[in-house]
Amino acid sequence: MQITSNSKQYLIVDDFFNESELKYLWEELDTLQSKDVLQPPSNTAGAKGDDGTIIKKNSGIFLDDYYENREESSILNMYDKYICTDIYERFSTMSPEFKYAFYVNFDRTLLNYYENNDHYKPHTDAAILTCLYWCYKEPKAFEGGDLTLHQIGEVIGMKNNRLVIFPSHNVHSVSPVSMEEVGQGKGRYCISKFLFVYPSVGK
Amino acid sequence: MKVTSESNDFLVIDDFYTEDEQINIWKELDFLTYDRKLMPPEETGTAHDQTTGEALKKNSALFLDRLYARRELSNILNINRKLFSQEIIDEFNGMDNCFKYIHHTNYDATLISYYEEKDYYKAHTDSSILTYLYWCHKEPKKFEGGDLILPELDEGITYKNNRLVIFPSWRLHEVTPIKMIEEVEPYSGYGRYCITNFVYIK
Repeated sequence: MQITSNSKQYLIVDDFFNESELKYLWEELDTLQSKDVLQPPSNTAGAKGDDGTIIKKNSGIFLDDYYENREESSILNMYDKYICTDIYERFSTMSPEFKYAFYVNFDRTLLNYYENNDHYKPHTDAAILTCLYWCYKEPKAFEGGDLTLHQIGEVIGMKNNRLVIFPSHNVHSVSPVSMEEVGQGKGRYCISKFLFVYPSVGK
Repeated sequence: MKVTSESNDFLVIDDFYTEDEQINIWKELDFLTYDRKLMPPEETGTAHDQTTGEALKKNSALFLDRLYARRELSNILNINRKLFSQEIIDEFNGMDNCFKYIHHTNYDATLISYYEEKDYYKAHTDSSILTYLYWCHKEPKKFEGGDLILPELDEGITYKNNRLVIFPSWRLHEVTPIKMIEEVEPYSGYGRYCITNFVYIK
């Protein structure tokens, strides 16, 4: 696990999961694929365009909804690894939005899978901070699927076992994936974790 | 209503509520200003000192959302929707990026706080996205102090009637002690009121 970005606006962590974590991750992803649980965009609360149209094309599922107990999912448990000293120490030197990381008390995790022509047009997330974890099966069978952070004007290349964290109000998009061998789980996985500061009182 | 601050880190808006709105706010504050309604810090979720565990505030307070099952029954819970009017949101342009979360915020909690002699709130942060503080008192003013300090910015925002202050909730803030300049009975209603809104994305 290694922080490989210098920007104050976003954080890139490469080699996020270690070998044994990756084994559990792929077991879970393959199981979910074999059970055919991934849903079309209309079922995964995607961002909408100004005219109300769906602006993503992929398949996905909120893991928090799929599992009755968080303990059943290796991914949900392992993902909390982002709360480690190195990343936390870095948060305090980032842009002000990262200060909210220290108050996070709730999160939602969405598994996304992109195959040929899948994409996500520019949008913001209704959360405080967005974590994106990317992975795919080697050898890589697709092209595209890079992340653009529009306000910052930067493109972050799709890389296996990479975690990206940025403030959710940043407009971001995923470039179209192109591939030939569809339907075999060889596409682009993105596990999005949305971080919240939830209220205890209010309406 | 007029923005009187120049900082990108916090927003000060003076003359926030109209005369009519203030009259209806006072009706409800008068109804609430009793010892069994406005409660001590332990009952209203105070910030604590991380080393000593001591409550950082001394005042009396009430979460209005806990009192009313229906928002429309409260003057303040209705009138304070003005906090989220387009007019105020437009003022967020050019502010620190944390103000951008306003476009996704969809939930808030309203806390009434009342400060009399020797009451204060030491430096603390709030567990929400944005914090809105609205201040008011009954004329003639019978106290001194109760100013807001933002220690990290080395800025002080003077207490003023009908003033609204907005800042990101992670920002350290404190209220200087109140000194009553005229002796009053407890819960006289002549102290310093603060109506706080904590704003969230849920």
